[in-house]
Amino acid sequence: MRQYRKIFEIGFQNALEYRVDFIIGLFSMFFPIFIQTSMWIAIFLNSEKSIIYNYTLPQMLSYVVLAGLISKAMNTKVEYEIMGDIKDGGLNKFIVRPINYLVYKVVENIGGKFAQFLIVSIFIFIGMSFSAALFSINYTILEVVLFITAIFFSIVLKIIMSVMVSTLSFWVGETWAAFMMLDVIINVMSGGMFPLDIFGEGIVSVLKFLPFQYTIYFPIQIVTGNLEFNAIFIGIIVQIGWILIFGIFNRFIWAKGMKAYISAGG
Amino acid sequence: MKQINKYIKIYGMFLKCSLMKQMEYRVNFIMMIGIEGVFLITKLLYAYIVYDTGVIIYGFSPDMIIFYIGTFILMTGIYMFLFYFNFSSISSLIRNGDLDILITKPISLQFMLTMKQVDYGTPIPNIIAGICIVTYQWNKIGLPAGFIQVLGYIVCIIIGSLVGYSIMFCVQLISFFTIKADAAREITDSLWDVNNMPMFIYNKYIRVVGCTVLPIFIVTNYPALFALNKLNGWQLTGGIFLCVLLFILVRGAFHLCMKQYTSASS
Repeated sequence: MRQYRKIFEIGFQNALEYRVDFIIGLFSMFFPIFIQTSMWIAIFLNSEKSIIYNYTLPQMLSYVVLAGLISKAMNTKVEYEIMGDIKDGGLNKFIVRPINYLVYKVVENIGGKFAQFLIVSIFIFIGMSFSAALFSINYTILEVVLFITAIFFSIVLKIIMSVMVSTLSFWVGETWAAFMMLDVIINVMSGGMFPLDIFGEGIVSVLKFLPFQYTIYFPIQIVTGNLEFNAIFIGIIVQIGWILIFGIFNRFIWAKGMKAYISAGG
Repeated sequence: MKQINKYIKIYGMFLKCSLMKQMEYRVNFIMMIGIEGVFLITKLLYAYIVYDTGVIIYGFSPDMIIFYIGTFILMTGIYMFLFYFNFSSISSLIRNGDLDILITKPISLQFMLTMKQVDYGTPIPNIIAGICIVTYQWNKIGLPAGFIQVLGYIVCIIIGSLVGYSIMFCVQLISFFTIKADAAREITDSLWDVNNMPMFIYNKYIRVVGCTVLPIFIVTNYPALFALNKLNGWQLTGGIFLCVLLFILVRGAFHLCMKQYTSASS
């Protein structure tokens, strides 16, 4: 356990090594939020309807702000790191060490994301306070606690999904393009760009069977008041379920991959 | 005149060498087209929302907004073709000391740094989709398609491209002052995406800043507004003036950065 705590600390320190780059990177998350809030304000102000895609303006603004912040918190490059280790033989040193490489990578990335997660949490708290004051939205303590819990599981789920995608590197030489495409597709299907409701009920009901909406869309639904307590509870159970499924699948596919692994370089 | 001919010849060689380099790895070339195709879908989602809601926003019909988005997509293709990969590599050239080799070349360093790489793959989806949307919407809205209108549209695209070049290059100059500047690329990507929607969705103070202090709105708004006959002579003159002024300022800033540049390799 001590070794993983150390790995977490190393990941945390690495993230803060280049502080200017870290701070500038945080600013970049506000641009998509800025574009989306302006767009939705313009649409709502010029529309005769007060509800569009089942959202009022305050709900939509809360959604886009939270989606932008959560997307940033969940953005991870772990699949590229694993691809690099597999391709360049960096995996070799982990084979001889008494440490599980996958757990190492997941813990290191959680450590790396922790600093960003702390700062994004502050912005989320500020955003929710503003929306509570401006739009008279009442957040209960239980909703906030469940929201934070769901976000934590979202980050873990995203990292584990990324690790699963990275195992492609055992069999395909250049996988960075697949990673980039999947990243964008997953972001859209998670509700990271727009609420999934814009795609219509048919597509939303299909997406319910996929894990993606449990990364961004589901946590936000907790605080926009669109879910009953039972549905929130079931949603968190589903998140844990997907984490376990992908975790087990990762172990299986990783074992297969290690048999195919050719130690080139390193 | 001799100098201009020299640079035209050199740029011709850059075009040829870039094509040869990309055709060496044809799978990479196709993958880049695939990646950009996926990003194109995210841009088209904005058009889908505008069309689906059917709202007339501040006097601009959905067709006009989609015409604007088509112009944005077209300009994104031009930006990716000419400048994007040059700007993306500035940070690593400085960090690895490879800039030193470029300094020794007997041509303008700024020219080498910002024009050397030409990408043929990634612009393809954007340019094709942009031209199709612009042409279709041009007919659908019933805009006049005379020589002056089309020429003016093309001239505004050139002005927008030059303004975009100056702004994006200016942001990359951060790389001279920080060791790691990955966030500079995130900022340029985010700044470019601000033009996903027409500038009139933003409030008037942001529009003023976006057209003067940080004239990012000129990049894609001016061509669309010219074609829609919503750009007056003063705005066009101001745009041309800002284009020239920005270029001179950025060139001065680049010279200042080079004066304090110390090689990473020595």
